[in-house]
Amino acid sequence: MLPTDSSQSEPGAPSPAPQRTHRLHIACVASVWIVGIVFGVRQLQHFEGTPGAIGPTPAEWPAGSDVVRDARLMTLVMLIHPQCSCTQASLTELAEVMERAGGRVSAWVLFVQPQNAPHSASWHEAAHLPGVHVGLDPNGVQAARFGALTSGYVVLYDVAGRLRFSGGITAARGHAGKNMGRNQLVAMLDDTTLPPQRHAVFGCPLG
Amino acid sequence: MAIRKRAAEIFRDDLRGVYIKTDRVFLWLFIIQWAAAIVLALVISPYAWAGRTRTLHLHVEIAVFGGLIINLLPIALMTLRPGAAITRHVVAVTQMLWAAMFVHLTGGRIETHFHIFGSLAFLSFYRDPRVLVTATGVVALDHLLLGFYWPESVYGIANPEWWRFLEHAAWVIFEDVVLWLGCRRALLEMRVSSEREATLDVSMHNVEHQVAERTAELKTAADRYRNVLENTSAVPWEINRDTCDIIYLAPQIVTVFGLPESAGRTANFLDLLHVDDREPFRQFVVEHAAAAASSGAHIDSRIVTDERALNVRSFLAARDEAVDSAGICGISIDITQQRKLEQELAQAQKLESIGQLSAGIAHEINTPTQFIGDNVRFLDESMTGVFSVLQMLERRAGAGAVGGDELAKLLAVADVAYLREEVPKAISQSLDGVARISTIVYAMKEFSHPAIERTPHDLNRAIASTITVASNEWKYVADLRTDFDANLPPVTVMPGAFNQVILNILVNAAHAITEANAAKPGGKGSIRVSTRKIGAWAEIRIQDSGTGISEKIRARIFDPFFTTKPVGKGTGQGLAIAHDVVVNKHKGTIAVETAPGQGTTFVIRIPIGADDATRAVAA
Repeated sequence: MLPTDSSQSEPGAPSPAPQRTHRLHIACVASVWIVGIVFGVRQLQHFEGTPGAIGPTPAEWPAGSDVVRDARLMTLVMLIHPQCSCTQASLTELAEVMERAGGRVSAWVLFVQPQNAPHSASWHEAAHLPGVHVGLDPNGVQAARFGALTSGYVVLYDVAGRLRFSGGITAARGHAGKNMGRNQLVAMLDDTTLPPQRHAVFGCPLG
Repeated sequence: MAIRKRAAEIFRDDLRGVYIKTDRVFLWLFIIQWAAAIVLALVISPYAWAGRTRTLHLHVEIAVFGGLIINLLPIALMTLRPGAAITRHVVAVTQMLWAAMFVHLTGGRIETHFHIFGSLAFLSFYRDPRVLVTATGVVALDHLLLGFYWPESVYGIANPEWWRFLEHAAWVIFEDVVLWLGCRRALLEMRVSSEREATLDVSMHNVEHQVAERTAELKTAADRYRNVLENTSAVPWEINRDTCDIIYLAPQIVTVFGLPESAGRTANFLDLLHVDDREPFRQFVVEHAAAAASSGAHIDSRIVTDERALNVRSFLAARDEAVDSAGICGISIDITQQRKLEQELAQAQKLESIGQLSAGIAHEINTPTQFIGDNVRFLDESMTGVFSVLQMLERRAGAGAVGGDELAKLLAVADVAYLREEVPKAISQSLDGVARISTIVYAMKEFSHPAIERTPHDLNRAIASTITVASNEWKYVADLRTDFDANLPPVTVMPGAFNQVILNILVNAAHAITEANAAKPGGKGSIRVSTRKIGAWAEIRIQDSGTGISEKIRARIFDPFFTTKPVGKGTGQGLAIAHDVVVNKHKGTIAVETAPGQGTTFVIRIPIGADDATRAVAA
């Protein structure tokens, strides 16, 4: 596919007339290349870095919630879209949080999906996280209660039922790794006197 | 200098080869990464969802189209500028872009970041540390920009320190240092290898140049020698020393020897020769082929075709001990004319000898002729007186009886007593004279026999005839005694040539005795001629009491035209011819036993039944 070695003193340099044509071609391709890369990066950054919508989140534990709250522990609820590819990153961060929580948190992962929809792969992954309960949220009823409009939305209520944290725990859509949301959530676990924290959430819309 | 320059060329070519090969590696890597990216996107994030509605995830579009665009420029450069510096730097940038792509597609997994370190290792294949700098710069720039515009995505915090990007870049730089050391070592090894190859190249070039020069010289020399060899009147050849198969036969054998064209294509040398000369030639080759030095030995053979017949003399070259070859070289020359001239010379010399002896022979014939004439005249006169007396007696007897006194008177007148004594003498002398003439004539006839064939011959009789022919040369200066071996069988010789040998030596003996006698006037020398049978050889000794031969000239007496006699007395051919006849024609020996003042003895030995033929072809 590639041309063989030429006898030119300058590596890969053809004779002058074809050289000008080659330079032109290379310049055109380079222009397309640069523009394409810049465009792609911007599109990617926009897609991954644009936070999702957040609904009104109750400051107290909503009564009538189907989620069972353990009064001795803080309660964490994560609402996710079962097919959202960003779910994996959220669950990875949740695992980090539960590791740091050390049994101080009762966590629920609610899959917001239509009635009778089959479990997705992330259901099984969430179910295996230590200290995490998984459940369904048919038709997004619980999601509406907690103000979750975007997949990966997390709320943390203390033992008194007061909201301590709300938002996402990833730095961008589908990106695991250190982020301020997780840091804030973990800080809440260590010091409940801190004021409630809120962080942007990155994920697919739930509705 | 030549080596250094060549080493630089080889190094540059090898390095360019490395660049182009590495370009090809990355070409395939880019294609594979593109495919992998598409697969990853489809597996990890195929769709973006909004409730129940799904759309194709941006990651899939980025993998397909973004991957295509990322690969566009490097592939274009690999095609248009293979091995160029710009190409490999763009490859470095592209490979880092692929690392970023995979990080995004895998959701920022820390494991995916190892792609960067693996990519740097691949980029080190270029053995160009500057490429690593480019790749590292891309990583640093990426972290710098992300740290500036989107710090949380990289560092997890909103306001990282400005130098935080360096922390990530530092690990990349660490690997860069290691890879740089590896590149440096690889380049050094390439330089060493280039110098080694350059040394070899230059040496080979010099050797090739020398070989070409020597080959040209050899060819020129070969052409020169071939030109000489194939334009001489001699015919060089090379044959197998065991079978005589021809390895090389000079083409001029056709023109020089006047042979048909087919002679030049003969497979075996023996096929060229007369059937009777083949075995002797083969034995000659076998006997002399192993000699390390040319002995000068030669063999005469005959070549007979429908058109002509010729004599050739073949010589063998010395064996070249450095060459392990089954072949033996030689050269053949046409001696037909030479042989004819030799015969004519021998005949001329014989005639010269006869001419020289003619006066003596004429004297030998004339002397008895004279006294035969005198005796016959005496008989004529005597018979006239006798017839007169007889006539008177007839008349007296017719008239009556003749008395005793008258008869006695008549007998006294006829001098019968004298006649009774002298007439028998006269008749005897006359008969003796006739015998002497007859002997000389017979000896001349024997001597002059032009026989050129070797035939069994009575040497004693031949020597005796020659002695008779030459008698006028020796009889006044020497007494000659013969001592022939009666048991000597017939010896196979060329009679004419053999007689010439004996004659030449006898004449030389007579001349030497004459010279010796000059010191003692009135004295006579002696010549003794003897024959003996010794084993398979016949030995002839001719001993004279002449002046002898000095040490100084003894080695030259058989040289052609060498003589110590005054001009007109001898031409110096006698002993040369004798040597040639005895040694070359009869395969015998001729030796000299002499000392100044003590005479000379020539000892000739001839094989009695010699069977190697040197027959002459009738001209």
